[in-house]
Amino acid sequence: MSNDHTTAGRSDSDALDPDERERIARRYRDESPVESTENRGVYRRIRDQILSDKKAIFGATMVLLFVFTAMFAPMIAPYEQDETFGINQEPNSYSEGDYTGNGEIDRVWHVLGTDSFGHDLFTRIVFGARISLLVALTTVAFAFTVGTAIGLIAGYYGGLIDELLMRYVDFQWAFPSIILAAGLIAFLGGLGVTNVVIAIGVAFIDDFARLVRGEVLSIREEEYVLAARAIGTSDRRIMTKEILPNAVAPIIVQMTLMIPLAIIAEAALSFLGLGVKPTTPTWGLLLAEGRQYINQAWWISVFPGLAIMVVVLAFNMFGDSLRDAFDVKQSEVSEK
Amino acid sequence: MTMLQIENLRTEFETPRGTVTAVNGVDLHIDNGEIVGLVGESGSGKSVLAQSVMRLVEDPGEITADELLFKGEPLLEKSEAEMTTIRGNEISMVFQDPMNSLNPTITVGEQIAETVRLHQDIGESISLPAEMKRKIIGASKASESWRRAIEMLESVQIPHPESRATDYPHEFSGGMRQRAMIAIALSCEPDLLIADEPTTALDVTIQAQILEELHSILEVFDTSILLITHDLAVVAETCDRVNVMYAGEMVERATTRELFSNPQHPYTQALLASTPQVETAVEELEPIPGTVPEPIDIPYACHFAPRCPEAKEECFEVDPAFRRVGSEDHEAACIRRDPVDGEVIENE
Amino acid sequence: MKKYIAKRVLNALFVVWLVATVVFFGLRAIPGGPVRTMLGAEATEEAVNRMRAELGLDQPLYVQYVEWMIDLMTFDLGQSLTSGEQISVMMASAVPRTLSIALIGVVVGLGIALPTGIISATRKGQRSDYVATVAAFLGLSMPAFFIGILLALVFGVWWGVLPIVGYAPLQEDGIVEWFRRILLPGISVGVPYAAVVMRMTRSSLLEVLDAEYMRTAKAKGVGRTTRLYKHAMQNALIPVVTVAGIQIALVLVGSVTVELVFGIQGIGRLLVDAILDRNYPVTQAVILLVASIMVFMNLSVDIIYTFLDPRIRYGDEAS
Repeated sequence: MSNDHTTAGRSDSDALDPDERERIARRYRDESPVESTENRGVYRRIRDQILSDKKAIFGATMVLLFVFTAMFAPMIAPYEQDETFGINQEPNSYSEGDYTGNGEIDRVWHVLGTDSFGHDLFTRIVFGARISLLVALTTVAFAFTVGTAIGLIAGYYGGLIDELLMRYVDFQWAFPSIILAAGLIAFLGGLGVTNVVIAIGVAFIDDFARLVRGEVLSIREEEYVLAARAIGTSDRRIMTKEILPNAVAPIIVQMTLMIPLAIIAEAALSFLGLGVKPTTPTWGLLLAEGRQYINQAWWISVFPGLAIMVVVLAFNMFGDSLRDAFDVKQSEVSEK
Repeated sequence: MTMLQIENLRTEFETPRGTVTAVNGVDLHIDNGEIVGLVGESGSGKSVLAQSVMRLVEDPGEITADELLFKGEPLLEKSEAEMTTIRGNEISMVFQDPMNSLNPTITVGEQIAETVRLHQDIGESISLPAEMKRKIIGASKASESWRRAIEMLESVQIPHPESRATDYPHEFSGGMRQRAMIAIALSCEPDLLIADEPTTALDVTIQAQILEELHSILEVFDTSILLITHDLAVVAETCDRVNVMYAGEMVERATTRELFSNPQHPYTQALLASTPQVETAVEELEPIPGTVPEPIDIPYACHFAPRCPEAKEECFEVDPAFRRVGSEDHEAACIRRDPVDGEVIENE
Repeated sequence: MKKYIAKRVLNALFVVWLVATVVFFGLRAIPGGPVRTMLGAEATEEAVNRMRAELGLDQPLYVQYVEWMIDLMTFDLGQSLTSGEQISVMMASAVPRTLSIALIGVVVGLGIALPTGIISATRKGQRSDYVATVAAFLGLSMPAFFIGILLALVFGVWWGVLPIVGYAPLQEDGIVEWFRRILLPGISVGVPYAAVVMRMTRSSLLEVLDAEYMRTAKAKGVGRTTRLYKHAMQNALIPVVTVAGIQIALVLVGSVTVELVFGIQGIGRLLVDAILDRNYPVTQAVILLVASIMVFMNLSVDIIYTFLDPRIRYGDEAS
């Protein structure tokens, strides 16, 4: 940039030279907190925004608590998952009996009561967190892998492949996810964690496929992708090295928001009796059992229901603030 | 008589990052039947100034002024209800983006007719149920307001106005939409028309037609116009007087002829040097280095100083007051210019 | 516009055909064949063959396919394997129950969602907006069957004001009894639906209120209420209709589980029992029915669109 012209022909012998001017301007600028925020990195900005969002803090804390509970369930739960005590005991009550087999009468505390089999409810809920987390993570991972592959291929190649894959996605759209999962359970013939994961995972494929395809379509025409193609980079490399990293933010948000849906779906399938085997401790099965004993023991259904609610709420809140924070397009515009 | 008299107008927005002072103590006046230009880069606060005049600034925007007189009446003291009777009636506005400024779900005719009904006593109900009925089953084609709408479309040169009035905005081209906007703005023969970048989004031939349109309006309706633009060519063609704005502040004002022949403020000079001019076929255009600062707590006195080729240390420290720098009404806010009559005009 | 609707109807029919075809082949692709799975490993060859003949599975595939299509077009869905009852008869009894729940759910859902969404958007950042947003988050986080159990507990067990088991057909028991039985299940499926639609209404209306044409309306001197209802509402409703339509799925899924909570023999109950009994004809009929309802909902959304969005009504999707 040249600064040596004087438009109106005035003498500016005493004017500052450009470097000096820049120096003074910077001195003023540095005193202003506003300018300095512009230089902060994207990651710091995202981190700061999440940290300043109460919703996110609450969500993240509860999510961590949930993961922690699931991982260390045997240590957190006061009793073994299959141990039985007095049946339908109220919250904050005691079972009395020889549970350790040493010939002495034990007094056992049930903070949330017991269920109709005599299982300690708190213990069952703590172990139930394991199934919820396991199913949620594996289904979302499964749906993400397959859905992203479909979306990438459809969006990148277009044409007939796109047409076919998207027809499939449209077709899957006609099925509410639980109905599709139930149908798949019927097809797979039998209960169990693996079948639940496949059923719910398949039912969630379309969400990822549609999202990734949309992202790919918009990124595909960006200059850096055109440039990569021009220098002869292979399709696979362009897809995994150029396109996918740039679609990461929406995918992360999508995954965070799919986990609570997977938790609800698992609970619903178990509640319907189409999920895991009936002896497994899961929140959905506890709710189904609690419904049966609704007249005698409200706690059997209410506490597992609250557990689902709190975990789902936590993921939803965290996902929602992630979405706000990651909304790269919007912040790019407002930064300028 | 003075149509619009603004003194020391400030528009501020409270944001999490600090107070944005979009308009920072601006003076402006417009006489009857005048076309006044307001020039500046994007981000200079000219649109906010225009919206402040009509009090269209939304929360958290805060407008204060020593004087904001329209036909001698203080606008800032009016109630919202009183403002509603002034907007679209005595003061109206044309916006920059004709693509998004018309409601996509209401016919063009109804969008004009609605304005007529609101402000002119033609005996048509403007209650919410009546308006919703019109929206859902369509306005009566026999009504006075509809007749006026067609008349307005005709006067802004829309061909086949009767059939065009029932069209939706997406069926209009960009230029036609802007004409429709002008028709809405003029439907109640306002005393003051604020045109905010009315031609920026249009291509050059359409631009000329729209400007032509604005000129003829002035004669027919006897309307004063505040023309906001970043395009100096448009100003040169259209305006009687020009105000130059930079980063929320006014920096220079003069008659159009004077400003173009004898620009004084370094910003105005730089702006002119960066604009292609047909008469003086310059070989090289000089872009202005740097960008307009964000109007959040700008810490230095003259907002242009960091980009100014003539800046000296004092420029960062001393608020530049307006001073006469040329013929009669020519004033600039720059401490590097000696006042012609030795007198510095105090503002603030 | 006619062309647009015709295109949508054709597309809907295509998807229904596709679903029927996939269900047909899917059933026949079950490892070991559906009959063997149904009867169990220890069934005699004779029993398997008899069952195959009964189901028409001994015929060539293309014959079976054509027959299946003809049956579908005449609404002949076959018989239940367990009870021998005509599936169409079972459906005739189950469908009104599920649709009653869904209907109340949608009415309750929209009844809560639209006003709350509008209030929330027009009072953005104020206390009422905050309360509504938090409530929506809670609604979003409770599965319908848990809400059902809570309602049953409070209104049925504790207060004893509403029955919590069974259904009362409208024609036989009258509207009051029908409503008493359907209200709690309806609310249960309506709450999560309300939460989703409310969030959409809020964000969509906020976006529209910020649009340039809303500023134009204000600059024209249009009053606040007229701006909201005449200028903003229709534009804001366009995305809301999409979500409200698609999320009918949420209501249907919800009613499948809620039927179990309230002991109502709807299609959800039918489906679960059929799957557990390996009653394939019933399973496929219910899945096909639900998919058809979804396709029909989609079609309705597309058609409502044409009334809300003049850009589609005049076949000018490009601009």
